[in-house]
Amino acid sequence: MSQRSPSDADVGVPSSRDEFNFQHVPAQALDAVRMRFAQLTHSLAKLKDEMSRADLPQWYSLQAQVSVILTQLQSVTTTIHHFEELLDSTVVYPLANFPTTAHEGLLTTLLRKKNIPETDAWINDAKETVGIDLNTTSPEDVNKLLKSDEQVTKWALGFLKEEHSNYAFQGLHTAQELSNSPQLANYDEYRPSTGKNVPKKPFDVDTVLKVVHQGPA
Amino acid sequence: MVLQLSLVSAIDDESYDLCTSTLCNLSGNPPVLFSHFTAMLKPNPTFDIEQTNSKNQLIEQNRLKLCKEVPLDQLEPDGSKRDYEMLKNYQDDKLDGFNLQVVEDMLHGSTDLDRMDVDEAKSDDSWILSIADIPAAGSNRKVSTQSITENTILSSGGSSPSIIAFLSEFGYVPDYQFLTLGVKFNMNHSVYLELSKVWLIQGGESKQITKGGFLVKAFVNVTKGTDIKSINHGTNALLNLQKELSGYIDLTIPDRKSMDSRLENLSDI
Repeated sequence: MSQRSPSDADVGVPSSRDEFNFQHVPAQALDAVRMRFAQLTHSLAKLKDEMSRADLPQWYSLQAQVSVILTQLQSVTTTIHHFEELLDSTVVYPLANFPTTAHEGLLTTLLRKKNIPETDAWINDAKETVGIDLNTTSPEDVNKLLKSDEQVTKWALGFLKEEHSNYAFQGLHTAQELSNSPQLANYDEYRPSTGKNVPKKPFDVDTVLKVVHQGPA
Repeated sequence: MVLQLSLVSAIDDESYDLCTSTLCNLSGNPPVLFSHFTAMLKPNPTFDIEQTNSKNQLIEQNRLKLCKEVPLDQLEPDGSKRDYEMLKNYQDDKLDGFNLQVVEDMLHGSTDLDRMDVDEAKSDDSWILSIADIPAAGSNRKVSTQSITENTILSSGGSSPSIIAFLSEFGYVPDYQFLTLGVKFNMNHSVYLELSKVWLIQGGESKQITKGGFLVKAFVNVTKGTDIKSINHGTNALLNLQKELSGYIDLTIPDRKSMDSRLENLSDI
């Protein structure tokens, strides 16, 4: 029931299924997008399911799931972006032999182009949360805001990484911990901090020594 | 004669706080604040000194180092504030709150008529006189090895009681002067570690040559140059410290030529 650009279709809509040429259906593109969406919906459903349970999962398992979902979302957008031209120029219409009356509900769902009301509500909600009035803000300003947001995120991430590297978090035990569980001392977990917080050399030592031993040049 | 084994490095001003507390914990001892005034003297150039002796051997003219402790109350009258934090106030050429006249008085005798009393001036008139050789050569050395001959002048007599007048009678005249302010850590195995700032003093003005940071020097003094066992022991102690501090302060062997206090007009051997 899909066909690549209507120009090469017969003016008289084919009356039977056998006459229809499926070669122009962008099957590869659709399939790629479908696969990504399937993964994403699966992950989202799983997360939703876990969140609704009485006992919450551990934070790190949640975090891992969220990062998987983000990766999948990224994958969906890149795939759609990759096939953008093809999918944009594809027009969908029902074939004449489709039982339109019997499956009206299915047909309207499949052919719907507008967002469903819930999606509209989500989008509006997201816009409100951002706190920017899109009607009054110019696209350049929005871009600028997005960019500065990205920069702040980048800075925070870098700062966190740097601070983390300045300290050694593992393998250090108090005397009490060691006396309570002596097996802690058996293996050495200590990793020295990899911080780059080392002193700089503000002057050349040899030059200073030369002045001290031989006087100012 | 002592043999000084040493390694040097440098740190910047921002790292001073962390560095002192690190070294303090590492050594288990608090830092000791010190300040020296050093005057270097050279053979009087008006004398026509022979370049070779009677056996046609080259005579090397060497500078003399005259060193004296500067009383810390000259720098900070308030004894309770006199700790290692004090050094953070001295990042410039200027030595705030320090009267350079003091070092002049130390060298030439007080010009203040009230303090001309000879008996009183003599009480702290001792100076450390030392002469250092160029550090030993060799490419496979692990530490710098320099022999230093040192003695103490307790008092100087003669026609004029000042130390400069005293040494000029031996044919030495002042060359240049500097002031060192720093902290010293007594590390394990008789290794000393100094963080210091150095100011050249010329014509009543001071100029810091360690601007932006501190000179780091780790050293071991071995009393006898023939005591191989102590030398090896000291070398190992220094190398252990170098290993322990590696990645933080990288101690290296200084260029031996930069520690040569012979007069430049003689060709280097």
